[in-house]
Amino acid sequence: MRIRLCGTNHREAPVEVRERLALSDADFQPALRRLHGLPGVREVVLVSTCNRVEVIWVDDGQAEDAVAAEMGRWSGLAPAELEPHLVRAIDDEAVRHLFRVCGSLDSMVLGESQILGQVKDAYRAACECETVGPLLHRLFHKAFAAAKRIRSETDVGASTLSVARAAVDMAGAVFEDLSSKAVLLLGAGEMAELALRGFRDQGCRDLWVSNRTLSRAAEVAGPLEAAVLPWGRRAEFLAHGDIVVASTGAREPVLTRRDVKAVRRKRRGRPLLLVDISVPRNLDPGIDRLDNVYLFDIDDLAQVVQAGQEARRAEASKAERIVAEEVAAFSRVLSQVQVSPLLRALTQKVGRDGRQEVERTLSRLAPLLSDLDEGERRQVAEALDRMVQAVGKRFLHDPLRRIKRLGEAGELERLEQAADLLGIEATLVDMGDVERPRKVGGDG
Amino acid sequence: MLVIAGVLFLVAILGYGAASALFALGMALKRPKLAKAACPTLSVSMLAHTAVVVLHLIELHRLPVGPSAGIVAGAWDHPFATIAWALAVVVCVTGWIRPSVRLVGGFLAPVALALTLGALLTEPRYTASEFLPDALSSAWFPIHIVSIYGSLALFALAFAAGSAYLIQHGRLKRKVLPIGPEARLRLPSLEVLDRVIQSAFTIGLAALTLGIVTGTFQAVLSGTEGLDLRPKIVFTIGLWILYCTGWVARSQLGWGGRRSAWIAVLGFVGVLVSIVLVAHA
Repeated sequence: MRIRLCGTNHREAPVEVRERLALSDADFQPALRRLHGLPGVREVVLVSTCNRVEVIWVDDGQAEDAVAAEMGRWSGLAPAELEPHLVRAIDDEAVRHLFRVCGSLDSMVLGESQILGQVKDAYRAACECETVGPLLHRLFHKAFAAAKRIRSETDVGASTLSVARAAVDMAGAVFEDLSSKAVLLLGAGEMAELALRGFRDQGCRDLWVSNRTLSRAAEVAGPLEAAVLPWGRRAEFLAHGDIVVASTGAREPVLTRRDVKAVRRKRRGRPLLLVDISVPRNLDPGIDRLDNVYLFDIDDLAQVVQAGQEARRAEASKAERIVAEEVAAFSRVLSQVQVSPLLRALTQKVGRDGRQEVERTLSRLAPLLSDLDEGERRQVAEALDRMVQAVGKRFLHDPLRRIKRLGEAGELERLEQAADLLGIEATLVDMGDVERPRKVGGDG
Repeated sequence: MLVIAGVLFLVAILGYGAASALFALGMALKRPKLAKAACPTLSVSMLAHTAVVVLHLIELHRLPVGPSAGIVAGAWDHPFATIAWALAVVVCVTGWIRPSVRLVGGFLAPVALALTLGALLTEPRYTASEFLPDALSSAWFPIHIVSIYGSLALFALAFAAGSAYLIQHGRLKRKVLPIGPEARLRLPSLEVLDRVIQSAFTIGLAALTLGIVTGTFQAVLSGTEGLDLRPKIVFTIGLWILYCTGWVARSQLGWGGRRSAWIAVLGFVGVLVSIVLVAHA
């Protein structure tokens, strides 16, 4: 049996193809069940996000074309349209691909955290539909563990990648707990709105919006549950507020150094953070020279974002090393696991056959043993049984050792031949060693 | 028992040294794991040092503030070492209560190292028994000592928080923000550092006041001679005025943030001068 992967993603296919392959919630489970019902498919997980649709399955080597055809069927794409965009991988390559996806190394935004949650959701859905077996259980648990290792041992997801997020990060360096802070948005620009949304996501509840046009301010404030501050009273906010985000189309500063200086005594040394994401700048640069006041303009934030991108790229190479280690470890474990059912079946067969032979021999010897009492007959039976089992063990010693070696070397075909020669039917996967499906928490 | 105390004291010194080196290397090389390793190292040193103090109490029935007449004691019986222990305790306890300021302990590890090495290399000019023969039996003495050493430790904490505040303030004004591996070396926020400084000022000042009052009572009640304005007393009162000014300015005039941080740093430099050059020269 082999682990296979087939699908497409943001690198291989334009959005026109991806959107046709993407599955709605209603279509997802039927598609998964159809995949599981394809001839030869033993286990399957389907990952469908806006940037990728990928099928990972276990088969006996005959289902690859059927899976691609099924994808074509639900997307309505002809094979000639779909085929150029498909990515295919087998065994270690498929494992590596999944580990990279979970570690967010294959994402459009390197290091973003949503993909891991999406893959966990896909795995959970497959568990609910009972399309996952021992091999994919093990594979996905290993993939989640590898992703966790990447998160904890590298900074691939640590750096800031958006201006809005950079503004929130700046606030984190000044304030301990953002939930108690008052934030004012000056203007109604899209980026400032995103920044305000970022502060709200961090727990800020005291949100204000001020704009020259009051109705536009109310429009922005509504969905964010913010209050509207009349434009003429914006400087008053400085006396008690903590964070100001400015993004207006004004050609002149809308807050000056004098405005901030006027309220310094009332602030009693409390820090004030001002974020100016407008061009031309809306906040007087001289404000930054005041004590306990921190002003960041769009260039400062862009610098943080750019450095964040570079930092993530630098960390990605560390993450790739972790993926390589984890793939190698998984491959080793997998090959060891696969021989244990064969070993068990072989040992059981020899034991079972031996016991049958002992019983047959005892029945043949019954006339000779009739003079013996019950205890003596039991002793003879036990002695025969021990002898047969010992012969069996000695006979199996070398074959078992060689089968283990074949397993460690990943010689699946030879193992299957050996099982065939010995007349043993065994699935080359150990059901007993694999964890049962359990609920996995998502983060996306 | 005294031999065990001596060995533990050496362990504590090595720990303070290791914590200082780890923190300095971690900050210089931007290796968060190194810098963060300084915190548990400091905790281990503090525990070893605490064991020294406990053994001392069991053996000699007093705090290790200088050898008594007739007893040959090691460097661990030196006041410098006890001050180092007090500040290690305050820093570790603060870090346990508020994990976000744990990294601040790294700033104090070199101070603890310097004080314990000072204890190892120098001897107090006057032993407690020589200088204040009646003091050791006075009921005021333990209160005086605990208050004074407690206040020193709290001012040391304010110094560490103040140093971290000034570094963080400088980073923000220069628009240098922790990115990538440095992100994990992020210092506590300015707000929490300011709060630590203010709390350390408030409690430290109260403890110093109690120490001065009990010291004066003890001296007056025991009729100790030489209550004239010795350098140690002048310096102590000077420090009290400085910290009191800082506290009043902070609470009444809103001198928060950078000014408080500077007072915390300069005040502790004064404390060190007082300890090293004036009281024990």
